[in-house]
Order: sequence, then C-alpha cells, then structure tokens
Amino acid sequence: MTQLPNTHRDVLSFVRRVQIGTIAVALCFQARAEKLDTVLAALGCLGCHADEEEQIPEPASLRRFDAKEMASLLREYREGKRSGTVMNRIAAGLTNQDIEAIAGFLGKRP
Amino acid sequence: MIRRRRFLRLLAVCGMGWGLGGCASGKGLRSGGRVVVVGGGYGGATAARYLKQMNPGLTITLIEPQETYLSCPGSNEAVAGLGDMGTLARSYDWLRRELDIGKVTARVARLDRQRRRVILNDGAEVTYDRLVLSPGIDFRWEAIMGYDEAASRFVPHAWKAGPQTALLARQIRAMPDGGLVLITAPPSPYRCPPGPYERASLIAYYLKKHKPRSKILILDAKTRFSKQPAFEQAWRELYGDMVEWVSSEKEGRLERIDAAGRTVETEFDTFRADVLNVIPPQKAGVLAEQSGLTDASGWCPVDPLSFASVYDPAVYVIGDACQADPMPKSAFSANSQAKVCAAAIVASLAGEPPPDPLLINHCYSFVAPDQAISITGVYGYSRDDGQLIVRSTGETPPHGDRRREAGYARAWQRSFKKDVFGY
Repeated sequence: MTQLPNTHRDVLSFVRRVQIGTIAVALCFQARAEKLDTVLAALGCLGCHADEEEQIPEPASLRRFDAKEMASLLREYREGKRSGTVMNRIAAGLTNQDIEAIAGFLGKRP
Repeated sequence: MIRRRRFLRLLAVCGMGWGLGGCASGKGLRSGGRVVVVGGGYGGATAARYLKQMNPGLTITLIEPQETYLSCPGSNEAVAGLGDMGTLARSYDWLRRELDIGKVTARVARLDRQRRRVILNDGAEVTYDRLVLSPGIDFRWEAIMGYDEAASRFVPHAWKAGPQTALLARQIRAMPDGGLVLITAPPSPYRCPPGPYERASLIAYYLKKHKPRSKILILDAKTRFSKQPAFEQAWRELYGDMVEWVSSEKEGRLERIDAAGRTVETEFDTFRADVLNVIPPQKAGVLAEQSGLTDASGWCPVDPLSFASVYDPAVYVIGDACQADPMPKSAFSANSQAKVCAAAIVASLAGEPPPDPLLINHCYSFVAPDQAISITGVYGYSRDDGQLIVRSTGETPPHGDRRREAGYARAWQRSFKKDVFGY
C-alpha cells in the first residue's frame, strides 16, 4: 500500500483542531459553515502547489511555510510588495479572512 | 506517515467530515449516503475523491467507460509531436485502492431521475441519494454542413484526447513542407478557450523546425479570443508570419466543409488545407441533454452555490457541461467546481446549507515547449443575485516571463493530476 500524501495528515490535524474550535463556539451554525468555507478556499491552492517536500524550487511546496509566513506572503502578493507571475493575480481576489483561513489550513504545523 | 485505513479510522473517530462539527452536532456530516459520479474526467474524479475525503462514511461509485483517462491539458504538445501520450494517462487505481471508491467501467444508458437510478448499458441499475454529472462536452454535429462524426475520422477535431490527438499528430508529421494547416475555432462557449491558439503555437514550433515554408491559418467563429495580446505577441516574436488568425468579421460564417477535399468555404472565400483541424461548436455531454438537464443553450444551468441542477436538486452538474459564467470551461474550473460541489453534497446529506464557495481558474498555454502564458480568475458567490462574481482576474502581461511560466506550467501538469487522481 502506498503512503498517503501529506494532504491527509493536514486534514487530520485540521479536523482535530476544528473540532475543538467548533465546540468552543458553542455549535454556532454560521461558525461551522465558515469552517467548510475555509477548507474550500485552501483546497484551491492544491491545484498547482505540491504539499509535499518537492525537489523543484517553484512553484513553492506548501510544506515550506508555517501559517504566519504563508499569510504574510499572500498579503505581500496581494499588495504588490512581492512580484510573482500568477500569485499577484490570485491574491488580489482574497480577503483577509480567506488569507487567514488558507494559511491556517495549509501552513506547516509547528 | 498515515496509511489509508488509519486515516479513515481517525476521521471516523472524529465522527465528522472536514471542518463541520460532527461530534458537536450528533450525526453531523458522518451521515452515510450513496453518491454516484458519472464521468471520470478532471471534474468527476476530483468530486469522487473529495466527497470521500470530506465524508468517509459515504459510498462513492464512479461510473466511467474508460479504464484510463487521457488528459486534454498537455494534448496539444502531443499533437505537435512534443510530448509522449503516455504522460497524459492516469488510471483510477489510486482512487479505488486508497479511498475505496467503487469504479464501474461502463457506459450510462440513461438516468431515471424519479427513481434516482443510473441505468447502465448492460441494464444494471445503480441507486443514488445524490448524483454528480461530469459528462464533459459533445459536438453539435449538425452545426457545420459537411462535417460530422464520420468526417472526423479523417479530418480530426482532436478536442477529446485519444485517437483523435494521435491522428492529427500523424497528419502534421506527414504534411509536405510549404503546406497549409487550417484550424477552425468554434464560437463561445466551448471547452478550453485558449486551446486552439496554443495548438497553433505548438504546431508552428514544429513546422518552423521541420517544415519552415508552411503556414497555419486559424479561421475563427469569434472576433477575439482568450489571451489574444500575449498569443499574438508570441507568434510575432517566435514564428514571424507563420501563424495567421482570421476573425469572423473578415471571413464571415463558416458555410461548408468538404472533408474529403480538405476544403473550407466561408461567406467570402474557399481555403484548401493540407491538414484540416475542425474544432466544432459544442454542447454539454449528450447524457445531460437526454436527461433533461440542459436548457436552450445546450448547457446545464446550475445553482453556483452548490452546482445542483436547477431542474433536480438531487443532481449536480460540474465541469465543461455546466453553465458557471463567468468561469471558463477548463480542467482547472472543473476541479475547483468539483470541490465546491463535494462540500455542498456533504452538507446537504447532513441537512446543512452549502458553504460559501471560493473558486479559481488558472490556465497555462504553451507558446513553445519552453515558453508559456497564462490567465487567472478568482470567483466568489454573490448572495444578492445568486451568481458567481469575479473577485480578481489577470493574464500574462506583454513581456511577461514566459520561460518562468513554462516551468510553472510543467509543475502544474504534475501536481494537478495528483490532486485529481492521487498520483
């Protein structure tokens, strides 16, 4: 049996964390719906970016960044402080909430 | 590293799908259910995968007549003799093995939407609670006089990867130097808006090297096209005047095709080609049409919040077949829509509303084997008018870094297949 890609491990730790978070927000329906939005926003990134250690330098493997680094990179792309090819265009369509959600889901666990 | 069984068990222990609080709300998203996915292309395979990963309690059946999927992205390289068709192929083994997705290799005869059943060609029936249709495109064979399915066996469309791709590649290799390659580009909407122009670019690369006196003419049913400035700049810089694009404003309607004579008649002229590639006008896959899921446009209207058909809340249509304006019909769009659709189905089976979608399209086109251009869109959902809206969009600017984008495009071809087929 082959080993699963890291997405699955991310999912697991995410699920555990969200579960705690969900209980904390006292079953607030809207809050739970937002959690699924979070997952959806983050899944869009996996169409291009590997989430495993990759030998190729670009596009960057998402394994490289923790949540804080990832959020700050996305903001820099959005605000034009960092220039890329595609990332400026994509980041331009993200809200602060999207950025936090994506980084929280895909950022490297400490 | 976590192996499949452990992964599924852990999710089951959590008693939930991604992000929604199963433990907190009793049964939650771990509720079971039978979801059938018809069509194993980028849309359908993505939906099958993410449905199972979002809720391992679901029984997922993927119905697709082919054992091996051949990717359309990358097939223009094969047309120009640049890539190996083998790299386009993916099997469903990983989905079967790692996620317990039931892959049924069969053709669908029809849907019985009232009884929620999919009827296969051999008469077998598969029952569903929710159905995902990702049937791709079919051609409007009646649209061009003289060009039908029989004619496509020697004048290829090559708009579905497979034998058609190989046929067009052979014809281009066999063409004499000084010959004319004529591509007819269809009216919108159609699968892969920049595809005809990427194809012309890569054929030009081949011809410049091997048959430099040849020409490529694109007769377009449109007056402008996707990534036009970047394509036209690349053509000038790389291929001089080898590629000529003719707008429908200039030549008018495509009146008739003489497939045997490889001749195209427009309102004003007649063109005789050495290699003729007709990309016909398109519509949703015929199963959608036969099942009453299309409107007068020939495509499937859906609620873009969930991709549920406006005609049947238990049936979801994703990918090229659905109307998801302003998203273009692309593999990336299909993949993005499949994830939104999977989340909406998981929520719906648990009696919850769908989450707000965030969708992305990103398309690379090679203009040479080591140079690519791209177009990108990020889409959200407007609750006010119930439509998708553009959040941001952009494309490769003049003098963009085409070599760097080519590297990204190659990486994308690999990671994208992995996101869909698991390897």
